[in-house]
Amino acid sequence: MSPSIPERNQPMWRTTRTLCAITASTFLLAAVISVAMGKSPVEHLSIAIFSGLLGLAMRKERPGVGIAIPNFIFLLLVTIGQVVMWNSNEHIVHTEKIFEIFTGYRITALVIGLLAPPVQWLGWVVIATTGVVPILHFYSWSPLLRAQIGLQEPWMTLMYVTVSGILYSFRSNQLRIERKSASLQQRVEMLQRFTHIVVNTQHHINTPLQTIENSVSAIRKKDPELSSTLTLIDRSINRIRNVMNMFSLADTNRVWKEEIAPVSSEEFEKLIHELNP
Amino acid sequence: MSARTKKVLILEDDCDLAASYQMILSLMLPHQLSVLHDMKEMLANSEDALDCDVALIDVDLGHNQPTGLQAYQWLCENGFKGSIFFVTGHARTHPVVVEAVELNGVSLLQKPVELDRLIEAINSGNKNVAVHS
Repeated sequence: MSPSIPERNQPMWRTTRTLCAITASTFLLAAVISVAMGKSPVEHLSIAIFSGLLGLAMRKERPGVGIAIPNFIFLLLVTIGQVVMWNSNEHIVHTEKIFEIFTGYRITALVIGLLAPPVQWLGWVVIATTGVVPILHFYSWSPLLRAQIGLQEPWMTLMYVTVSGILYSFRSNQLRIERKSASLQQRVEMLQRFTHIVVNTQHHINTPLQTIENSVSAIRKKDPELSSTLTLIDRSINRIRNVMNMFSLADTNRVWKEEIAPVSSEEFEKLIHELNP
Repeated sequence: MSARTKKVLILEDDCDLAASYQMILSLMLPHQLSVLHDMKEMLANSEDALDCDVALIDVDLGHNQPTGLQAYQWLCENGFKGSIFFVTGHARTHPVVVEAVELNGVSLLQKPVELDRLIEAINSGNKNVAVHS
């Protein structure tokens, strides 16, 4: 049996958890360095907390759920993260300290692109907010303050959001393909099981069929008057023989390209009808 | 000196099928038939079995029973001079059938074999007559 989607996604979630832990540790270290250098650690700290919480939320395995983070926890974390980043940006922009504005929003946008749940409306809404919030924040400031920040914002952050959207779109497509392939795999396995049974029980049909065929021939030989009746039995045997031949398409030694292989019950019916007009 | 009647060995575990072979072949052919159901019976009638000119051996001789392949080996090891045909209702992917197909000079008849083909195979006594349906 092939593994289910959640099972197959486990390595991906493990990697993401590790990445979250690495991000949290890195930003925690950056926060400590910021303090040592006399800078505000708020932004670094907020990203460290955000990454840590994301990692913790994904800690618990939930087989059969499909995604490890429940949607509402994800939404809650993103909201908290954005509030924290709004506050930290708001706090730092009014100080004289040198800092790269909206770094948190950018990283969050990329993380969301990689981690957003496959529920389409939720994913796109969350990505959209990572674009809208920095713009709102940016234009909430006075023109003087905006001029100090530089020309690259909010467009640089929007570019990150676009990249995040592309990542999310790619992930969604991958997931769709994966689900389709898993569903096809299930059908294939079911068909394999069925054909395996058919192929392995063929002799339980073929042996009695041989007995009937032999007996019909013996009766015909002994009593030629019954010939017309026996012809009917012969035709019926032929029909069963043809059906059994069709089933033997499941035989792995047969080359499907060289065979007229029906792929649906309708085609099967049509072919049988052609063989037994 | 009169010509010796051709002898046909039928090794088939299905009693109904074995009886039907006996019935139709004795009606259609002048040959002497020796119908046996398993390896044990064949060993008990070894002289009779080895004296046959043609052998129709069912590949699967029943659950927990020696296979037709083992019967074939025994016949070969004990100087069987006739032609051997394997008969099977199994698919060609069945492990024993795969082994049987790989043997040199042995033909495989797929059940249900048409009577004409069966008679042709017996009469030809030719190991190269391959009948696959």
